[in-house]
Amino acid sequence: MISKDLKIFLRNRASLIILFMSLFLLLFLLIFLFNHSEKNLVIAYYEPSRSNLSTSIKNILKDQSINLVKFNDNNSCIESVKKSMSNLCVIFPENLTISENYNGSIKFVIDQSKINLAYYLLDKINSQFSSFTKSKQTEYIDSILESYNLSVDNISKALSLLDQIKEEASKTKNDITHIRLLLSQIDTSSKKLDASKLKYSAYDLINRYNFVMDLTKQTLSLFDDIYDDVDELNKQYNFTEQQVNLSKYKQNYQRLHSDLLTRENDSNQLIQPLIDNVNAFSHYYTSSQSQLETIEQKKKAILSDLERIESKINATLNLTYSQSSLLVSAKRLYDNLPIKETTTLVEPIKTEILPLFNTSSEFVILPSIFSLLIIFSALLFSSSIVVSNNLSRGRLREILSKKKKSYFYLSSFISSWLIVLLELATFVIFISFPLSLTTSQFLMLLLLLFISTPLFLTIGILIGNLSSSKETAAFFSLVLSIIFIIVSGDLVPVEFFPKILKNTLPYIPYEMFKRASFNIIVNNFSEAFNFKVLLMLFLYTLIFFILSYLTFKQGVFRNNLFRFILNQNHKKSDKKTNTKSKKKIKSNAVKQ
Amino acid sequence: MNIVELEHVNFAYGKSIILKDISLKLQKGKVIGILGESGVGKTTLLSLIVGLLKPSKGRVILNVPEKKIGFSFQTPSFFDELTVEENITYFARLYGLDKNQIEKTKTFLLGFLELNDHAKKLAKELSGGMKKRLDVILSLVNDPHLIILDEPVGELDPFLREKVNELISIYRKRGATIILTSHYLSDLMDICEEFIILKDKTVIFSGTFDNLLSQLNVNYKTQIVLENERDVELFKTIFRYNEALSIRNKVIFLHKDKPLFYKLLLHFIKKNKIKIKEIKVTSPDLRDLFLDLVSKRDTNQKETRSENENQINQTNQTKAKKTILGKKTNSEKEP
Repeated sequence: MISKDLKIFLRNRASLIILFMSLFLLLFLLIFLFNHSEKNLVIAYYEPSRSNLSTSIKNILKDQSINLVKFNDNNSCIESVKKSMSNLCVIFPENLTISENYNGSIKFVIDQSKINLAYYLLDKINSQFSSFTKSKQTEYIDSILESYNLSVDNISKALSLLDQIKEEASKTKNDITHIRLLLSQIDTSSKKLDASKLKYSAYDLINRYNFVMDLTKQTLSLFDDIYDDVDELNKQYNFTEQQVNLSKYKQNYQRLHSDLLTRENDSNQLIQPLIDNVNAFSHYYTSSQSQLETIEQKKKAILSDLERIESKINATLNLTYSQSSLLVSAKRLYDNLPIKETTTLVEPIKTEILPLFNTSSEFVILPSIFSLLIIFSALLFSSSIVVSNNLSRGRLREILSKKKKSYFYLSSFISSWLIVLLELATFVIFISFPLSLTTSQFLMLLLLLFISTPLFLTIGILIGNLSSSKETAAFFSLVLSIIFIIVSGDLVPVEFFPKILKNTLPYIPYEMFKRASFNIIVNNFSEAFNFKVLLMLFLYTLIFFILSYLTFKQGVFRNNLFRFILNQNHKKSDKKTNTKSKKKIKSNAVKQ
Repeated sequence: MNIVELEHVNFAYGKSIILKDISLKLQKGKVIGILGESGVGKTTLLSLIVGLLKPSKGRVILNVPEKKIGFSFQTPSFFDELTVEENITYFARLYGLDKNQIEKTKTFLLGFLELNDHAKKLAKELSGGMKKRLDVILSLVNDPHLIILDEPVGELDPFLREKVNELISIYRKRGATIILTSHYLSDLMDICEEFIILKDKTVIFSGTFDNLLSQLNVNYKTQIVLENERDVELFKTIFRYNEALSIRNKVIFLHKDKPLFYKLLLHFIKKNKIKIKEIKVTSPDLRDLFLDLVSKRDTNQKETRSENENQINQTNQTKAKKTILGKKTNSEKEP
């Protein structure tokens, strides 16, 4: 009896083709259903310190109609996902910012068993993140470019100032030479020469000196900015040559700075004595009573003042030259700055995906695969065996044998059970080695299979009894499987469904099987194994067993007899043609 | 002893009546043939006898164990995906036969109906005739006491038809009762002892061939073989529109048994000096009887129908006359 059913199934290619067709249909639906809009999505987050960036990210999530729940520590955030209170846990790093050297990353803790929902959310977040990061990058690059332009501008300004200093300093030196010449030409004994020329020249010198010093002061404030800019640029580009220049620049700057600080005393130490000496010299020179000796003394004093000023100017000139050459090299570096990609210059916000369960992802996906396998194989196998038996004329001869109907029902049931059990047991054995299932896990899975397969088989037999052809039975089985799969959240996250459906979820046989296998494979009985589930599965089996047997007994046998013996379809069509012809005759008679 | 009794059995499917008021008593150990036009309800009657269908009215009494009934369906019925051998073994097991019995039955039946070479073939791969033979074999695997064969020789060549008829005789000798239908009436005539004729959803005859013959009062057939071609032409000219005879080649078939017509015919032969080669007189066969019975019933029905129609027409005409008269009187009344 069973071997007959097995032979019939294996020799029937149609059911095998339908099996593959349904797989393609399922894939098509999967793509179709993911275009669904989200609802009731909850994301838990933990934020050790607030930053503008993290606030912006939270606002992005809120804009996506996602509910955010704050947690005070990592663990409670993760626990909320485990307890299905939230769909994802986001852990922000400390002081989240966007820059080149920032290493912190945002961590997403996902439930691998609800991978579709997790990836749906991650996809949503990531697409927002990438646009957000891009805007931040642009902002950052703009600021770099601005400081770059400013630095280049400052360097140019400083260089022109330094040129001006050089020019003025040279002029100052010329002034000093001119005064020296004037002093040498003065004949102190004759008193014929006018001393006013010397006086004016001295004043010119003093004015020019002060001007040079003012220019130097201006340059100094620019040097401050340039110093900061070059320092910043150096951090970003990390040039060795630049570092060397920078240290020289720094030394120069410091010398210039200290030199300038002493400028305040210059008026007392350098300028004022020169003014006093020139005035005194002029006075003594014009006065008839003045002695030659005193005039000569003042002349010497002026010459010594000039010498001191000259040495100062020389020192300033030297510094200016060296500073100028450093600035030129700095400018050259700026000009030859290599062009970098924005993304390499500023990295996007780093994200990490962490699994909720420590086990490997295969473990987590396995219960779903397992559940899919049981529903497809059980429904399709049993319904196709029942339909092929019911459609076969051999069934008529079976009825004639007067064997009990339960005998035939049980044969279909047991043969389907054997096939499905064999298929699933092979699957369990195959996966138990690479995933290192423990003996208790393995045995528990077999027990679960033993109890659950009859349920799906009886549903399949019921479908087979209600179907008039194999195609219809396969279609029914497929539709029912898809309903089970959708309702249990395998295709579309349960969060997208209304609350009533979510509440009935634990009582749906397919979901019950999936949860039980998840508890065995993934949690390794960490959650107390619910034997009530097994009892409920058994009760469901009993209900469907009775239902399928009743349909088998009442419907199938009667329908088969009428179909085979009376050829009812043929009669019906005959009836139709008869009534049509009768109507025609009637209408003709009326016409006549 | 009656093996099957049907008492006022009616069968309807939905609103359509398929069989009505059938009462039969079938004796044990007989070979009974059921005759009827296609679609008259022969298969339904057989299914009612074996209990596959339940009567809407009346009852069927079977005096045979349920497991000792064999049924060969009009359309071969077995599992297409099993081989010939597997089908036989499976159904034999259903009837509780042990291995030895199965082997014996298999060897005998497969050998007898010459299916030995095809035993390992899938049933669906068999030809129509082979399928029919397999179906007959399957109806006999349980060594039945009541064998019902619905068109058992359909699609079989004359040689195999003879084989099946031989098999029926073997089981008849073993004491089985056989009820069968066939379109080969000559075969039925050879093997059946009793006949049931169905017409218009009911049994119009049940009994032996002699009963049927006496009931119908059917004539012997007369054929006159002429010697000359010229005479044939003469016959054709004179009797062209006469329904009492038909002419084919040099043979004149006389259809009607009327003494006056025979006198007229003899007179015609004498007068024209027609040379007769041979005169054949044969008794009627089952086909003739069946056709005669069915056509008689049709004529009776037509006559009754036309009588009824005449009556209706007459009443309608009188009604119409009355109305015309009524109208006339009304019109006459008008000014």
